[in-house]
Amino acid sequence: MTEETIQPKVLEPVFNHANGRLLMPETRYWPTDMWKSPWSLPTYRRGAAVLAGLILGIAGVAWFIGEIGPRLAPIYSLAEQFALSYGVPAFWIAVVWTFIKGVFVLLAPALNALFAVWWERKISAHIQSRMGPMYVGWWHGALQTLADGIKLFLKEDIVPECADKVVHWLAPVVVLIPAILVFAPVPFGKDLIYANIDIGTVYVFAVGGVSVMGIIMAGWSSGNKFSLLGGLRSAAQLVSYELPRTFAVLPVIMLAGTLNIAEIAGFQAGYWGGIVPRWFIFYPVVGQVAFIVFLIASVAETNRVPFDIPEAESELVAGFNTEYSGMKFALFFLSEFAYVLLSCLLMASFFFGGGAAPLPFLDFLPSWAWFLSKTLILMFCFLWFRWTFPRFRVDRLMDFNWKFLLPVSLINIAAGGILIWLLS
Amino acid sequence: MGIVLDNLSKIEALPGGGIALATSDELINWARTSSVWPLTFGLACCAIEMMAAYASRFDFERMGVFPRPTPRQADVMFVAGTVAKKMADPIIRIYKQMPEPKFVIAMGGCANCGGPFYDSYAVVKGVDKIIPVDVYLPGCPPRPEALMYAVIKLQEKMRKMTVKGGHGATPLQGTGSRKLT
Amino acid sequence: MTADEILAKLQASFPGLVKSEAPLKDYPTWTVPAGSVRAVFERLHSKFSFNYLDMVTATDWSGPANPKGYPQSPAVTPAAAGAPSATAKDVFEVVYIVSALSTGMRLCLRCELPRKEAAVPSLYGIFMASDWQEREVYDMYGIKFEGHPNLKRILTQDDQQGHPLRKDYEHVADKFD
Repeated sequence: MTEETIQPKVLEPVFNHANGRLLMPETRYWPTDMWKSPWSLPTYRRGAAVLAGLILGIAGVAWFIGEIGPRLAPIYSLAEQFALSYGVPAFWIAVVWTFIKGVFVLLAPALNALFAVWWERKISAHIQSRMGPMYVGWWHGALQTLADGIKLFLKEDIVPECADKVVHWLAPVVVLIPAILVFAPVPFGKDLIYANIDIGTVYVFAVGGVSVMGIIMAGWSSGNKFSLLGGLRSAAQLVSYELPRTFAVLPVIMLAGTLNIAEIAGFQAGYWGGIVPRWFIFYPVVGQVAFIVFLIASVAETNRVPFDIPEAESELVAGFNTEYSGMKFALFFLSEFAYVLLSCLLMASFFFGGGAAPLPFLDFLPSWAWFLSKTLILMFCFLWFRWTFPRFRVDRLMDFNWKFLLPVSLINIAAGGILIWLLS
Repeated sequence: MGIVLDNLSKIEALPGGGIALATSDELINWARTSSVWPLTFGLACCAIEMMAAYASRFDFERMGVFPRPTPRQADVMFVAGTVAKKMADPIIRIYKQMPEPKFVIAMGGCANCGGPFYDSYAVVKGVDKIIPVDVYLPGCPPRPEALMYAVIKLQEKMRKMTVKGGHGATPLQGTGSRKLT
Repeated sequence: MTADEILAKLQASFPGLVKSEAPLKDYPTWTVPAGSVRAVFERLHSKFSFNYLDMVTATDWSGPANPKGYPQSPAVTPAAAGAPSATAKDVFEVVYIVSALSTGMRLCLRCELPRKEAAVPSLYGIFMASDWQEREVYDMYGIKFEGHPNLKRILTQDDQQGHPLRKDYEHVADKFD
């Protein structure tokens, strides 16, 4: 970190003998000097300070709030006693409680979309050395997504003349409903889970797979060749990448001995030698390979770059949502980001120990804060990939899946078995 | 028009509906002005300046301008360049495919009046002969700052819109711009 | 093999093929009669490996342009109007530029046609690139390319009246004017 400030260099024009003109020797637009040591810029230091302050502030708030999950049971029993004293049947109390929890699960994809779209636009902008949304909302375009949502809500809803009207109307619903339902067995923290079911992993992959139907319906019913191509590509891609994605989780399930996602996350608590957390990502070879396969397959499952051939803008206009306007398009967008959140939550639970702290002395932060930060870091990877890798060609995409990812994930299952045999 | 905007003007008949409409105008116009999504669509050299406006030196996205590839999700069409007569039919078609409320910015001399091709056998003398234009932006080609100024002018126009009496959309709401030939 | 040797070999079978008086840039420029255009190009393509058709274009040599060809202001070419130049001839000239990618040699072939019902054999089967080039020449000059499978307008709109680059073109107001 150097302390000197960059002095603007005053450049003398020089005579260019080639064309007989006075020219500035350096006519670059970009101040590349300041990029050599960005820490010497006061704005850079201020930005870093703001970022550090934000992280520390959020950590402080999280520490202040503490664990939420374990407090819910006493609240429920209090409310139950209160309601029972007024003669409300116990069945209805349970129904209302389930409904309240359901509203929170419903809020997860909605709030996630509000945040993640803004975050994606900011990160894509900064990767391209732009600023991203700045003027909407009170801070750095924070309300950009809200404005987009209200505007899309008020736009005209066009159903094309040649569209299959019923299927066209139904497709966003079929995409969105599994995207919300799939959050039921996914933990957001210790005891913060809607339905703590024992087949959680199977449920997530099964329900998440239903969304493909909606995308094919959207492509088929629009009556547009681009939509149809997008829908078919999406179907081929999602069905193919479902396999390595599921197989990548198998070693984790074998090691943990359960399909319950919360129990898999809980299995990874504790530290080897008091330092290295017992996360699955740190199991030699098997954990890393499983994670990488799962990450790649998850990016493909969520139709994101470099696997975004279903909505490739340069080939198909906007893929399966070419003919969707207004709120229906927003629903597609919402479900896409819901699946990104789901993939990140699953990766955090399966490979990064869920709510466990990375180091023993960081235990004072609640589990939901760790869950959230791991999810956000993984989500950043998704956005980072988007601006790093070029798009796959369709046949290469399939080759990569069937000839590389699938064999690797199958071998990894065998390696997981050997690892269990070695550990026992 | 969308279901919401079609029925929103009926609130006016209710007690206190006028105030509610005025408040919702504020919100709706804020949302519209903050997220102007143009169509990824260029015709000639003006399109290069339009691309420069999206890129890092000017960064249109600061204002919430985010290009969409399909007309179904776009609010505004930058007619960036010379409108050849052969291209006129596709432009009308794309314009019809955009959902209400929709806007058009005629960018550059060619789109305004034919520009240097005023005397040509193959060029439409101004895109306003085929579709309604909201903002005319002179220049050959206009610089990206000028395009940003045009968008700011368009936002000023959007702020004057009101849902009262069903006039929530473009000024052509009464005649129906979709019925254009 | 130089261009002159090729010309000498070709002249044995095509006596009408001669060296042009005004060469185009520094290319070897030949004048070819309309009847033997296709045969000459077939020979050039098969025997002398001229495998790349650079362009097909045409010139109208019939003097100054008609001011009525300009839809908005008829006085746009006052100097040219009505004063026939010395080079005016009542012909179209179709210009072909063809090159051999293996040797880098480039030839220019010219072919003069009468302006009335101008027609020339198409090169469609020899060079696939001639498809759109010939359509463009047809669009702009109305020269018929005999044997072209899809000879229709390519650049102007479908209801365009007349061929715009003819010197006697008169603009007819259409629905966009």
